[in-house]
Amino acid sequence: MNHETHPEPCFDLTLMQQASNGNPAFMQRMINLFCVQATETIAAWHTAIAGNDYDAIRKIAHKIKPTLDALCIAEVHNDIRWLETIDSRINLRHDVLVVVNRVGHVLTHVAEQLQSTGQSATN
Amino acid sequence: MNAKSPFKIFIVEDDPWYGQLLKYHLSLNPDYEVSLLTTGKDCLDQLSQKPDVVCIDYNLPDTTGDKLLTNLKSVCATLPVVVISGQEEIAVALNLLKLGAAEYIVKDEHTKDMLWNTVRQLRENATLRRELTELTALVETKFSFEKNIIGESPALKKTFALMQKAASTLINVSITGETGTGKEVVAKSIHFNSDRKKKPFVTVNMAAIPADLLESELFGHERGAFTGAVAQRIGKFEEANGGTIFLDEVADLDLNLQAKLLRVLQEREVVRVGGNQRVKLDVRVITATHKHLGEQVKQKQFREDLYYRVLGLPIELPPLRERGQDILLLAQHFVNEFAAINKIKSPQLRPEAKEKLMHYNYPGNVRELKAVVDLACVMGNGAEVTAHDICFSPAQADQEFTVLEKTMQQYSCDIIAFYLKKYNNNVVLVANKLDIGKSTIYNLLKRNEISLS
Repeated sequence: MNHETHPEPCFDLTLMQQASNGNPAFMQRMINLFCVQATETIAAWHTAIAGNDYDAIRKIAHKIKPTLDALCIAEVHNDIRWLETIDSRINLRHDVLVVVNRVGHVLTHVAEQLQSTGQSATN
Repeated sequence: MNAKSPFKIFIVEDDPWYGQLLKYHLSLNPDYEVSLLTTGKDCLDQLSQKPDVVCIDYNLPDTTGDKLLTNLKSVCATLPVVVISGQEEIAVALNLLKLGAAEYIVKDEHTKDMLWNTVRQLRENATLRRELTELTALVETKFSFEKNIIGESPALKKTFALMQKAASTLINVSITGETGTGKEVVAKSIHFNSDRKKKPFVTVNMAAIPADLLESELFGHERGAFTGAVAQRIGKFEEANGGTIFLDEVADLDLNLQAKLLRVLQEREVVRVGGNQRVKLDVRVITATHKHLGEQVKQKQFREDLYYRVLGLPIELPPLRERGQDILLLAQHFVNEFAAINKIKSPQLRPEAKEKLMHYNYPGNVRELKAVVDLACVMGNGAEVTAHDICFSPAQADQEFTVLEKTMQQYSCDIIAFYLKKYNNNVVLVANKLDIGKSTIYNLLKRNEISLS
């Protein structure tokens, strides 16, 4: 996925800002936490795909879903739910790989945008 | 949790970002101590920290919400558990609530606010439960014989002995005594020192409820039993089931209701007004009246059969004027009570104030003594209560000369002092007004039996 296709932020920080109660340090901490979590999640999915571990794929999707919903990352809304419920009896390895790559691209892009948002907020 | 310790909350959530969000949000309340855990095992391992609330994600790496909920409940049945889940299936939510979850919250944009409100409510419930436990213990202490009824007079000791007998059995009790002698206090003491102390104590004042409402008040009513009976309502007898019902001013019950009360006491069951279902009763009945029930029976104002049914163990409370030194013990108790309530140092009762208290006959009994002492504490200078601060205001004004036990000489001094004050200490004028010699007044002043104000 081309990063240039996302000139506008594809997330919404309203919920996080409300929860932060105006605390920039908390905002930065949560942004950093998301960046780490996004990287770890993408890596964990690829490991699970390599091992055909569909249960792990489902669990990883379920684990990060609340974060993605809380940040209103609408682009992955359906993909993450599909990954959360994939049927291990059908060979969907290729489809899973495509979806994981797509979600991975979005998460990487969101992480980059969040980092720049966080830096401008702290500057 | 006690009043000062923080309210401990466990959040069990494997999504670190989301878990931090919830933890931070709840931590905005400085009274909360929030711990973030990521697995069911961690949660069970840390239960020794005695959390006040546990909020669990439904899907955890090592278990599911229903299994963790069951485990938590098996360790501590009263621990409130809130389940937060992405699952929107009603069946899942219902199952969790059936297993004892305090609340089920779906993960969406409202989760943090829902969780905030839920935790606040659970904390309020916990506070109320704690206060209820403390108050129950306090009530039990408050109504112990020794702390609740003050006095050492032989008349009161006799009453104590009867109360002890009443408390150790289930016999009905009838209490008589003048107004203000503490009939309700005695009834409560008997209840809270009996095996029924954990059960309800229900008071009904027969004189305070209009006769046409009393029947439904006592026995309850079914929906539509009469105009205005829009819903079924249980009566005081059912409310007191398992405990004690205190029927105050029982002599004021009209004859028609006396027959119905007799039936309830005989059959030990009640039928609500407008209904036909019989409700079994296990209620101890304590009655009280300031009237002489035997006389009421003679005058056909009270049914004889009901009289014997409610008589049980009769306890006659002595009037305060027959309790001698108890007056001073009670007065000191009321002074201390006044000081505690008003957060002041207890003022000292001056000897002449004590003497004045002892020479009054208290038609309003203990209730009147309390009113007199409270007023004296207010009128006093804070350090001590003098005779001057003690003011009697009997309900019937013409009783003053009959209730104050003074000598003619003391009454004379009071009258002369009153006139001297009224006429600005003009001795000649007062002597003329009272048709007495000036020397009489001067002699009294000289002997300090009266003083110029």
